[in-house]
Amino acid sequence: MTRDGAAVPLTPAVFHILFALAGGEKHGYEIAKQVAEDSLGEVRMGTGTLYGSIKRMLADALIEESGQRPAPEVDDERRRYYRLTDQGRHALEGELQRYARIVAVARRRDLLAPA
Amino acid sequence: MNGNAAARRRRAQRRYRFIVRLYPAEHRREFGEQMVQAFGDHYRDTVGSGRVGRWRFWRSVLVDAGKSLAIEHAAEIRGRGRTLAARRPRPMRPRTSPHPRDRTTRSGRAWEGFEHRKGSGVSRVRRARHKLRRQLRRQLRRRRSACRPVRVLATTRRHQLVYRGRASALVPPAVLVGAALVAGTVTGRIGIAAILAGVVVTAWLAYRVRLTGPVPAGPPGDGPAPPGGAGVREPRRPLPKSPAGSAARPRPDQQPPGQAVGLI
Repeated sequence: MTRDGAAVPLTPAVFHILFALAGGEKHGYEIAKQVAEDSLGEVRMGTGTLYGSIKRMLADALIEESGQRPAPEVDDERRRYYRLTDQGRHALEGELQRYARIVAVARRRDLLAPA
Repeated sequence: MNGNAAARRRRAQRRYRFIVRLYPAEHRREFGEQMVQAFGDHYRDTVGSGRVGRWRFWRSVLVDAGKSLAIEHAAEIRGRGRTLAARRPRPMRPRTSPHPRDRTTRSGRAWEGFEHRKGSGVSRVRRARHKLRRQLRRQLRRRRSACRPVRVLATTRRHQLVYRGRASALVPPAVLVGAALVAGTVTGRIGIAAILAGVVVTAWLAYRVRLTGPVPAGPPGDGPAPPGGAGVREPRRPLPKSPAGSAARPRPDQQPPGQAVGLI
């Protein structure tokens, strides 16, 4: 998603971060763990890549910093929590629909076994 | 045992903090602490729990840092280039008549749309915001460059090759190049490491080393630059002629020769 709102394919890192945040707000390391879990360990995001992507996604308003924090006894104030914006949610839905269309075409052409 | 693991983790975090220092200042300010924290958690969950060996962990960290450092510095340089391009004056186009390029369009609607966008309130606010941001960046850059020491590396008759910054600023690119080469050697991707090191060196040269404009200087033999003249030499001029009668009058600070000055 560009800043003008036009839908474009997302980069794998951006897609995985949006996908991880779809389940609720998370801090940086939680996002990385969720990405590894969602991709069955195939995508492992390093700290540098993760925060570089977060920076660009904040600039593109796909995610935002969350004001809510967990209870003080389990919270570390250095952590920042992120959540999806409406624009981010639209971008994720658009990307998932794009994947679904591709999968449907692949099934029609017998490139993929039926679910 | 736990104490040892915690100490090891703190040491690793200190080392990683050094890598974080290599990121652009803005990125470091915004995400530096979070990165160190996330690194510490990652270390605890992988090396601390014995799932991954220390060498393998550091290899992945260095590879990731090398890639993301190149991306972040490239983004910063691109951003700076964009700011410079915005500062360049652009030729004005008439608003009433279409641009020659648009005359070939079927209806000229593109031009009308352009006019509409230019005049809308939202774009005016956006332009004003961009202008303010540019001004702030310019001020910040001026302040930074005023504080930055400059060393002349080479001088020709017309130009000077200068290094802008402190000698200690050489350390981060040297470490970065070293890290890229080590990571390349360890992972067996020497070619990528060499390209990465080349990008770092080129970026560093573009940022720190400058060929300045013509050095103003008079013909040779003019003597040293006048004090307070900021290194600008002027050709010697003949002394002005004294008005009639003034030559015989002694200067007020002149002492007669051969006499000591008495202290009272």
